[in-house]
Amino acid sequence: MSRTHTRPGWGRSARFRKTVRIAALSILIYAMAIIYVSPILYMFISRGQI
Amino acid sequence: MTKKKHDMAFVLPAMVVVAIMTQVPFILTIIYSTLRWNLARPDLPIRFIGFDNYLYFLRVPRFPEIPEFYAIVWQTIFITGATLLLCVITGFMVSILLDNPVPGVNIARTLMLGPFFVMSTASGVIWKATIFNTTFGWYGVLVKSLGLTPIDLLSYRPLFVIILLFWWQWMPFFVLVILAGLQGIPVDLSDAMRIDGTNWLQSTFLVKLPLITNHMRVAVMLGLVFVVKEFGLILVTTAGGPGTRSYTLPYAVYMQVFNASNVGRAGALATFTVILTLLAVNLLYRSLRRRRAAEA
Repeated sequence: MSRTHTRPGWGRSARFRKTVRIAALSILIYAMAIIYVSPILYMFISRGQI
Repeated sequence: MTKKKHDMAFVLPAMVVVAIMTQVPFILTIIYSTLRWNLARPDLPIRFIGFDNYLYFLRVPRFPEIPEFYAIVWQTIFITGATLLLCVITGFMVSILLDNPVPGVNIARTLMLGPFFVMSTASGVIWKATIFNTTFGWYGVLVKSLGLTPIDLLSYRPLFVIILLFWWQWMPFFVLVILAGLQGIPVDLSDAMRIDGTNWLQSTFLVKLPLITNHMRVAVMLGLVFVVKEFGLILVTTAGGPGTRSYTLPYAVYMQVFNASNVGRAGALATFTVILTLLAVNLLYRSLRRRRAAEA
């Protein structure tokens, strides 16, 4: 068995990388969704007075 | 009564209603397309003229001058094809993104589906008034802030505007269908990919993409039927203009009836539209069946 699997700190590092990945994906997905739907949101914000 | 006849008795009322609702108007359209019927000329009697209405559009009287009917057919094919291509590519990319298990991903999915539920005329007005306006629209403000002079996209790039708006409105439909396909990929396959050490590009384009090709074809087939008959969005944005630069076949049908008052020629154009759509759908359906047969 390789000893690297039991090296302390690796699990934490992988968890950290996963958290960063999910945070980056979340920002990307929400930014995309909000930009995509922004014309409709603008219509609601301007209460239809376009 | 045999079982088959018994079953037919249950299905028959629905079949009759569907046949009356769908086929009767179509058959009437074909009949109208063979008539000389101009609402603006009540002095001319309505009479049967065979295929003259079709020949009126198809005929090329002086060769180098191609009648505008061919340009309208090309514009319809170009708008529909470009929209579907954009929708498939971006729909796939967005579906891959939305397939990730991020917190509250359902909210993002619902937001992305928003434009699909907006009436096409309403979305046309929103874009025309709030975005493409050269004085106070987002586009105008952005271009002026860069020190440039905004051109009126609706006049100078009408096809680009229409394709963009069709794409904006119909991409969520593609996302809906492709996402359903992605979520149907078995979990053990994803686990196997991870264990085998595939990277993102390999798992996306070599494993997931081939698995959802059928979903994409179905989306393209349905999208084709929906996009090719879009009319309201063109009416409220470019109104077919400038000239006939952004006419599509359904818009030309509308103009033949409500502008030229010519029911016969409108019927011929409508029949052309149906024939073109059926041809394209048939080709796609055949490719879908061939692929299914190859997989079986």
